[in-house]
Amino acid sequence: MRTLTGLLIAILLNPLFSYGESNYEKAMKNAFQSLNQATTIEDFRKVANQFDRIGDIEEDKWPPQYHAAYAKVMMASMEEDLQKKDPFLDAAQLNLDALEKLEHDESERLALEGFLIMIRMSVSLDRGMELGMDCGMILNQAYTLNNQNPRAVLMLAQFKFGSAQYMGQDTSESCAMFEESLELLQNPDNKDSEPFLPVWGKNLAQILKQQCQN
Amino acid sequence: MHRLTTYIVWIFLLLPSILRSQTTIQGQIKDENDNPVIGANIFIEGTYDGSSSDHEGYFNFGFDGKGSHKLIVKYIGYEDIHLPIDVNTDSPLLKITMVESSNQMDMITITAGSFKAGGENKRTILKELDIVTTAGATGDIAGVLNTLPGTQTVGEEGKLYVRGGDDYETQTFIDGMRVIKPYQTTMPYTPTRNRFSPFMFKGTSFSTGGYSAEYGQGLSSALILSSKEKADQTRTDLTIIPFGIEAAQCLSGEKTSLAGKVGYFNMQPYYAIIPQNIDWVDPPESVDANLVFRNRIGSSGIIKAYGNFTWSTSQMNHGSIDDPGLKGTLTLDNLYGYFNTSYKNSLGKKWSYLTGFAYSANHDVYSFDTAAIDDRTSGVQLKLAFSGDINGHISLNTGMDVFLRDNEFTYSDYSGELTNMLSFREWILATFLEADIFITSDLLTRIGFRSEYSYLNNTHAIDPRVSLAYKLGNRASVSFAYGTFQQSPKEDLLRIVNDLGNERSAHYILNYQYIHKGKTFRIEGYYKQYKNLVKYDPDNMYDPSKYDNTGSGYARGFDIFWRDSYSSLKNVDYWISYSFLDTKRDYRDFPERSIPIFASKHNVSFAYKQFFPKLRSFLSGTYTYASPRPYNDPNGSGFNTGRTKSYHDLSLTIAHMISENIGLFFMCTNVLGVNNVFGYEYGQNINEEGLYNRRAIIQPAKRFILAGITITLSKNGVMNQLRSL
Repeated sequence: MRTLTGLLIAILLNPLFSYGESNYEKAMKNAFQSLNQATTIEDFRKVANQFDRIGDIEEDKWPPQYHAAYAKVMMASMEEDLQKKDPFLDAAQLNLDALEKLEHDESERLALEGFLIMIRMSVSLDRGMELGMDCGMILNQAYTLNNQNPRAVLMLAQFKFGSAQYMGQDTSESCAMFEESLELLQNPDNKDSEPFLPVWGKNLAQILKQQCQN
Repeated sequence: MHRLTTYIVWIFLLLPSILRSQTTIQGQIKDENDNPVIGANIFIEGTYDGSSSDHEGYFNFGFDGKGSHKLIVKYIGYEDIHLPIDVNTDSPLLKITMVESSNQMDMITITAGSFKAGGENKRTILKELDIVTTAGATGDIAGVLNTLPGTQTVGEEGKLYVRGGDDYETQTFIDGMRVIKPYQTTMPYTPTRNRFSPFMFKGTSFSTGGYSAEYGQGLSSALILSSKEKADQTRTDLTIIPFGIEAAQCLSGEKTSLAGKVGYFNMQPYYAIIPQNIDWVDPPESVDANLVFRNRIGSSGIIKAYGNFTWSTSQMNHGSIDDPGLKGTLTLDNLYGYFNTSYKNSLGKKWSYLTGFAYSANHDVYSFDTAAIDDRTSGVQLKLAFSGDINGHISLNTGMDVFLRDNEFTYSDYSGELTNMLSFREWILATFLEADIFITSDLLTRIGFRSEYSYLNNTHAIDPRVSLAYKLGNRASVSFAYGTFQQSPKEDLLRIVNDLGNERSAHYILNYQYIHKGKTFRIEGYYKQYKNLVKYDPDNMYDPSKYDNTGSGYARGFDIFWRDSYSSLKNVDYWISYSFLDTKRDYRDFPERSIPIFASKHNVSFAYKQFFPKLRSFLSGTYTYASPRPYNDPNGSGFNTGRTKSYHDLSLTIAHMISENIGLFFMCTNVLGVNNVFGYEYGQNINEEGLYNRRAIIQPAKRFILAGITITLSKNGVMNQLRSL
């Protein structure tokens, strides 16, 4: 009978508990899964909305802010109308600003911010002049903080690749870094240490690696 | 018993889902023009439950709760919607209309009288890099601003002269705090430079009139500089030019950064090669040091500190106009220090505050053959300001500052017979309040006032400031600004008569601006009225009873600006500015209302830049024209009736990157070698022909030529050198 009472209490309390932490996890898992399956601007927009809904409530958690920012940067990168890129990036920047105030992985945040600035630079050549230095600075910092962060390696490599091409210089250093980031992406050392860690980069790294071979 | 247990367990297992039986919430979202809003974020307040609207603006989602809730709809650039709903049964199709928000990124801004530089804002007229890449500016902030409309070229001074205003009428602010003596002290008729390196600043706002109530003590204009929040990455820069060397080091951590720059300059070797119109005994020699410190505190606090120290010395022979063979030696020594620190943090989500402290000290010593002048000025400012949003439509900026300035001026001749000391101590207590009100998303008004109390002349005055901006579609806007301004008299007057009243001005500005795809067009008309300007009797300069505030004047005109950063010519960026000025004033020793010597009627600048990515090179050219300026000819009739020749200057800059870390640059002003004459100085005595001798005020050298090399050493070597060129 005692076991039954225990069981009853557990079951009774279960819904209360489940509407706390695990609801967050459930919603995050759902959104995270959609993020990994997203391929179109609309997909990313839905995901960004999902993360924003979660982030609105979970003001002290970094994952919804981070992933919402990433989804918006992806929207901007896929958007073909140059005029429409900035509003997405501005919205992503707001998530990054919110993220900065929370406990978070600085290297990851900076890598994503560098990504954001690179998309901003792609709007016009003239911006590259202005933002290039900031971008290089931010990505260097991301890399310095954690050179095992595959996204920091990848983004810095992409930036170096771009500047080397502009300068008409050898791109072998950045190409080696693409390889390095791919390796880090394939063997993440932080597996299962914390849920909802950033995982993106593999596709991009492969595309960039291919550019090196051409 | 066993069956009962199973039964109970079943009940409880089902209970949560019974309690949480889902209802469907559905609707359609449209904007004011009945177009569907695609991708809006719809959710129930306080839950994660929600959805995004589809291509036709439709949405639907299941919700577990019951009773009264709030449905929230969010979309970038639109006002949030809070819709109370009762969730007991499935909702009917909710029809929701969203309204464009005034807080969107593309919001209307007040452009009357204001030029913004730097940052990613689309509204910026000048980009951060323009200061270094504009030919003729030679990396000087005032130099590049002089290519904008509203400024008058005054070649022998190198300072900013705005819309018929004298140079002292432009006040410089760093991080909200006023800077005393922003220009380097130089010998007479040798152009000066701004003391502060443009690389230290992220945003520059240059107001040619009607500026914010947060700033004061400038009759014509405010130059508002914001120092960088983030320091550059850890790196070392070395610049070598024929007459100096400069080293910069930046240390950057996660929360703290420190940047320093030290330079030593000596014009001796340069003047040995390039002939000068000045007879230098000791060409200018200087040491310049800058220090910038940043520290983030907590999640939103930031401490900034900025310091500048300069030492310079020079000596020249100065011939007498009456007797050209008679030469005297003039030595100038200068020591300057500036320190500024501020702390900024947020107060809740919507408000932030800033506290600041600034100290500046300047010491000039002029020694002639028979006498010396010792001129010391120091100033302290304390500031406290708050800004934030009251709601989505109204934001407020308010605060107060205390400003203290001391000046001590001693004239002594070497015989020791005559020593004359003049001084003043000025206290100004100021408060300001300003509100930005979005009347509609297309109509913004800024309304505020600045109240200043001066303990020196014991006067109190309130200056109203009002601006209005109206958006004409997404590309154009019209704005209007009105404001009154006051400024205590220049220190050379104030130390003679301590309780002189403040000089006053009023500005009326009407502006039209069009920005689209990298093209900017603006036209601005203005009328500026001066009153209470200081007047004195030139024959009794040291008699305080001959001073009063009865002067007055006006300036009116219009400015046109066109910039095309995305022209059909690839990698080309250019701008053209034209200013028309009609001004007269009666001040200082003027016998009547006349055109001041710094005012030229027409000013034109054409700045052209082209990049050659394949050659890793950059070419920039600037042409500047100023129409004839008045000068006073005691041999002629009337006051300030002489006219100089018009002014022409074509300057070029070429830069080339050898590698990522090494850059070469070459710049030359006045490539065409025009003999520009800025005015004439006259002797004291009548010569044999019954006339006063005169001497033309000319450029210290026909051209300024500079070639140099910059080297950057950084850990990761991905620096873009263009910024340093």
